[in-house]
Amino acid sequence: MKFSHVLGGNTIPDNIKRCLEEQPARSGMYNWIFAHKGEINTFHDIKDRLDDFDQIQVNMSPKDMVFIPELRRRLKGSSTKLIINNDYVCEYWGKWGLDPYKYDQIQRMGDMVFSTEPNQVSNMIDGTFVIPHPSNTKYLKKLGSAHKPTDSMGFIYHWWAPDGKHLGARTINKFIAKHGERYDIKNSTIYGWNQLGDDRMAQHTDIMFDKVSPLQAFPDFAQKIQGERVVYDPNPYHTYGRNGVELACFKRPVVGSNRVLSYNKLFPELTINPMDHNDAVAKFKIALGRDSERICEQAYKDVEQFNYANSLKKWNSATDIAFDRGGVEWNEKQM
Amino acid sequence: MERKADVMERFMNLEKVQPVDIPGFKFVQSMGQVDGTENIVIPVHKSSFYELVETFEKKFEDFKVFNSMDKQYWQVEVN
Repeated sequence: MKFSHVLGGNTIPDNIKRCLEEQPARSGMYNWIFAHKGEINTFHDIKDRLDDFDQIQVNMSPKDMVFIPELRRRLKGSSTKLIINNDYVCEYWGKWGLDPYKYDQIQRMGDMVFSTEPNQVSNMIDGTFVIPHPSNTKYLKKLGSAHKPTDSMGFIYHWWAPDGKHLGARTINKFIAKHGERYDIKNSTIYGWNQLGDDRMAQHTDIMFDKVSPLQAFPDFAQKIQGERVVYDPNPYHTYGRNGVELACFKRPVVGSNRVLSYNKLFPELTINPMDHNDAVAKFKIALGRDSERICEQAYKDVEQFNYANSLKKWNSATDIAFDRGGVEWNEKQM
Repeated sequence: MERKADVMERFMNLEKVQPVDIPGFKFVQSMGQVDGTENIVIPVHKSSFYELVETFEKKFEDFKVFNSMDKQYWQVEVN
């Protein structure tokens, strides 16, 4: 199957290029390119040779969404299929100022439409598939670390959604003050933190965390976070959650939000309502206790549901169903 | 699988093992040379993470690859 992801008008942004060159690759959407042994092309690179491919995929990002109507027009009468996905947490869709009818119409232009977790998909047109992005678990599981777990807790800050994330900082701070000695936890680190010009949040960060690990290349992040005894990610948004997949490959326990698909699938005993901080404290105790190893071993096995082979099975099942029922002609009739 | 001790022995002395008979590893240094561990260490610029994994998985089942703290070396930790 000849596959291309379509991104950008004339150029692929440098940050995406760097991301694609990382070894090992982070989990997430761009892994479809690797899993399909496909290509990534800009709109202008590919627009006159769409028939060279069996399937082309476009993410409904605000920047790339604009290519979809033109690709659909150019594919008239072609056997090449247009795959559309929405890779953004549904809580953010409203912030784009997108007309709801346009949002639906864009999706109806796809031969197969998917997103990565059920809450997102429930907001999309009928017939949309849930397909979590793939991860190269084989290589992630081989990534070790010079940072051996010691006496630190890690907190994942989501740079793409900065509002409200410091609630979790207080939870870690309180846990260490009250229970740290019992569990031999003395330090905390915030990951992915860039100040973004908000001085008030910077002050909080300095007070709440012993160490700040700013946004960095994935291989560096992935090695460093393996030095945490437990990771905390009270992500308030609905997403499939690549962090859960990666931490399972590293056998690191994570107290994670029950709004995140990968935490529910891989660390069910450690998931929390992200606003319930008493529950988070209780789950820290489990994550630092005698069941931690068993939970991580199980996650390490279960994470294979996200590997390339199993992800391709889901993709192929979805495309078989979608194409058999009529592809774009069927989607055009959906609510 | 080859015994860890046998493969380690071949990495111990560059004079004995040049070129190392694992494809792609002509510049493997001796164990423990950099950080005092018993890990196999390879200058980062001589190889990529994927190459290392693909090479070492032919020899070992249980191993990890990671950077030294100064990111100058890959370390291969065989269990």
